[in-house]
Amino acid sequence: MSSGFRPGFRGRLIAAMIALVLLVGLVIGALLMVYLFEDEKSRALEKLSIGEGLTREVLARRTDLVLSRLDVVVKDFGFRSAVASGDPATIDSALENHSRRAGADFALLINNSGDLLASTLSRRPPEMPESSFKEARSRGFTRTLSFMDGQGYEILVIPVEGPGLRAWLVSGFALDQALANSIARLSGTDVTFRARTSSEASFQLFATSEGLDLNLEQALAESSGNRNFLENVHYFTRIIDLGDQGTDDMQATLLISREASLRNYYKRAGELALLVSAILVFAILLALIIARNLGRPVLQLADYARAVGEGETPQPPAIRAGGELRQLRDALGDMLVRLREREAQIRYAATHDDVTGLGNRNALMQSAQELFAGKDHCTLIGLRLNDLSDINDTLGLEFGDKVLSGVSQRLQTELPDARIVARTGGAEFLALIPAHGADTLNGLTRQLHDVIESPLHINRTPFSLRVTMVTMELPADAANTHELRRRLNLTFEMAQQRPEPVTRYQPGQDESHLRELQLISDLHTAIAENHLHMNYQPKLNIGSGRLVQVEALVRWIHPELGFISPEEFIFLAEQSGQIHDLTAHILNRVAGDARQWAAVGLDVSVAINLSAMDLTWPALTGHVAEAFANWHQGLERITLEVTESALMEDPEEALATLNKLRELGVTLSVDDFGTGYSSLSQLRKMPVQELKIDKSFVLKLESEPQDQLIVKSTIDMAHGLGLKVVAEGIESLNAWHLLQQWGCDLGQGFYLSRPVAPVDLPETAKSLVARRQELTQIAPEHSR
Amino acid sequence: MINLTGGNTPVADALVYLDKPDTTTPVSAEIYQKDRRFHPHVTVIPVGSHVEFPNRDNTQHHVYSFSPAKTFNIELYAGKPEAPVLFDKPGIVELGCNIHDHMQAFIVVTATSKIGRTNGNGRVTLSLEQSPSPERPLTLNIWHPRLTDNTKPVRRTLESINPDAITIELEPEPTADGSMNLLQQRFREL
Repeated sequence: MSSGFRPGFRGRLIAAMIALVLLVGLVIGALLMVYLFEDEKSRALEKLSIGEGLTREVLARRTDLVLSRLDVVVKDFGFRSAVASGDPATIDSALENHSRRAGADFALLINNSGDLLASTLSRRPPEMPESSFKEARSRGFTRTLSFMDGQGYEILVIPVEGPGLRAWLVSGFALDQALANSIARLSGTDVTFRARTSSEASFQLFATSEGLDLNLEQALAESSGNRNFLENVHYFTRIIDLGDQGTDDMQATLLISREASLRNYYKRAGELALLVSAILVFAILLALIIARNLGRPVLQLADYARAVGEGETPQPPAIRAGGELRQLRDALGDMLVRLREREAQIRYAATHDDVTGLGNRNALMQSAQELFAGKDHCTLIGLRLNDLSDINDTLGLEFGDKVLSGVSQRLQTELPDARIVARTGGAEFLALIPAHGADTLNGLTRQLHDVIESPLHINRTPFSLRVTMVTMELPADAANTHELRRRLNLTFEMAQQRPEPVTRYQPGQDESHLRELQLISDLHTAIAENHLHMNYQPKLNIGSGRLVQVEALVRWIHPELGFISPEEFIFLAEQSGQIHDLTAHILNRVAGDARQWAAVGLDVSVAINLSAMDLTWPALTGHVAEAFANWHQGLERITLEVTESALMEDPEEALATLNKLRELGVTLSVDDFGTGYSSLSQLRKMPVQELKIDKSFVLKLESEPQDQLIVKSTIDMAHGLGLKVVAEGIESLNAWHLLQQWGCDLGQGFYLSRPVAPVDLPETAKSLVARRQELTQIAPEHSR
Repeated sequence: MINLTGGNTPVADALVYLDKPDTTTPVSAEIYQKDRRFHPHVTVIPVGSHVEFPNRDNTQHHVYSFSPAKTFNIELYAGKPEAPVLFDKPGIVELGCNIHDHMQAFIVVTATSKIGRTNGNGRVTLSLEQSPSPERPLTLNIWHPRLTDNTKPVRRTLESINPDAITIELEPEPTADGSMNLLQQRFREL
């Protein structure tokens, strides 16, 4: 979990459902709120429209009413009498009396010439334009609106006739709170009246209906741009021009409190929010229940799958819900069955050989392990077909498989009481059978050997096999599977070199094998770290008794195992592929030692042994040349000794290598001559200059007439071929004398000198010089 | 010649008389009420004349005048009032009935004998002893019941014997027969 908390299936389901409900709720709520708001707004607007019509109607009615009242007044004879009387006091009192009767807020009487006859106003009366009178004369009245002293008035002008025009009655009716209240009562809106003195001046509020207690002047003044509707923060408003002439100097404003009209709206919004909340809670509960019901089987299935994964065979969980989860459960069940089948197949393949149907190496090792664990006794019979790869190569793999099957059948038939019969490798079969006595086992294995080697009919063709058989007693010969495998292989290797049909493991073989492994490993270190020692055995000219050459012999004193014979470790070096390193190392060491001797004035040539494998080493020539670069003498003073058997192993290859060495200029010598099977014709082709008679002919030379004959003939033959002859293994003066007598060129042996360390060679050389007298005199009994 | 304002429509029945008083002989005239009307509608009398107001309707009438030339008031009566009314000042006297608002009549009280009434061509002929000249202009009074202000005459100055057309402004002819108001008409129809 790198990203911290991550919600599970249930969490996500709940979150999704809540989000969905919230979204739907909010969208529906928002839409409803918008609709409700629009609804309330349009209702308010409608109310305002009705209010506007109503206001106009109320004002018109009022004008009509007032006009009819005034009409009565001006027709009143008393009033007319008073006007006609010309007496100012009478006119004043009549005007005051009659105007009060008509409900006018003020009244004026103006005569035909425009002079003021009487007034109920204490202040200067308003100026009435001439047009008002003209219009009044033709229409019977004039209606104007006027704003004065902070109060708006409807002013009516009507003529006073008697019966001709006697005067003008000008009467004013205030647009006051009472009027506003009545309009407000009828229309259900709040009402304000406002006016301005000129089109440049701002409006002044002069009457408002009751209950409207607001400082609306500013807002209403700003609203003059939009004549019909003003969306104030607190009110829906409608502005009505009251003037008849299209002037907007006096206006009524209808107001509907937004708060009041939206109260319903807010109430509904609250209810809606409550409803959405309730749905949300319900949805969460529902989601929890569903998630619980969905999640439980999922968890059960997870447990089930985990148990299957852990190799158990659990009962599938009971799932009440149908559909996908049940399918998943069934799929998991199927998977479990298939898994078991496949496991069985894999296990079978892991323990069985697919060609023969026998157990394989694993099965055998497992069986052996059980055997070791149970402290049981058993005999292991091992069998290898010698020619299987040849059969496969020549007759085809199919045929090879049939051979294997045939062998397998025979093994199973012959070893009915076997604990296991297994094919453990390409051509290897192993069987574990109950322990028998030595004689019984012997008989059994010989019989098995005969049966297996008896002709096998494959494709109606009799086919004979050759097999190598080994036996091991368990746990005597091997106490665990590692030993078993190692010692079995050892035994097989040994059996291949033995003529007996059946080879039993020899106790101790494995230990020597382990020693070899250790030596191989340590030899590498010894070469790399210069732990090998070089010894040099002198070769003397038999005629002159002088030291002419030393043979380099490598010695290894192992820090734990002590002296290791050169035969052993050189063999191991060959086996482990280290022989070239060893050869190169020796070449360098010898070259180095020879330079040391030259430095102390010892003039001696060297002989170095080559392995048979060096002859197939292309880099050998290079190494020789490199080691003896700046060699202080001619390269013919370096003798490379090659055993006769090495030459004969692959004469062609050997010839090529020798030719190259010869071109380099070194002297080539055939070592151990007489022990191999070289034909003289082969030998003749080799570019060698020297034969080294094997010491087995020389050691008992004086007592064995046959050896004498062989050595003498060999010397003659070699000389005849133009080769020098070296005799090694000289252990007595007599042998020396015999060789001297037969004309042998060089001699080497313990009688002359044992191999010595490089630092001791100058000393040895001196002692040899001292013995020269003894060596050069001719023995009397051999002289002719 | 008297024409209407803004055109050449001749005005008939316009009274034209000199401003200058001369000797006149008072007369006795009668303006009776019949069918809720004064008869005649316009009466021209010299100063000092008496006028009777006999009521020949079956309803009572209340005849009055608020005109400065003569203010009088004959309260509700039927038949013939006790005494005629003396008009001792020149001027236009409007008559009304306090019971019937539409009833109207005019008495033109003149102090001159030089008075004429325009014919259908709007023409009137006055016989004068002296021709008007720019040095001695004559002032004419012109009156018509449909004058905008019919409480007094319009005055014009004549400076030659052959005057051009004189233009006056009149109210339009009353369209409906105003002899009865709607209520009275309904009563009639009952």
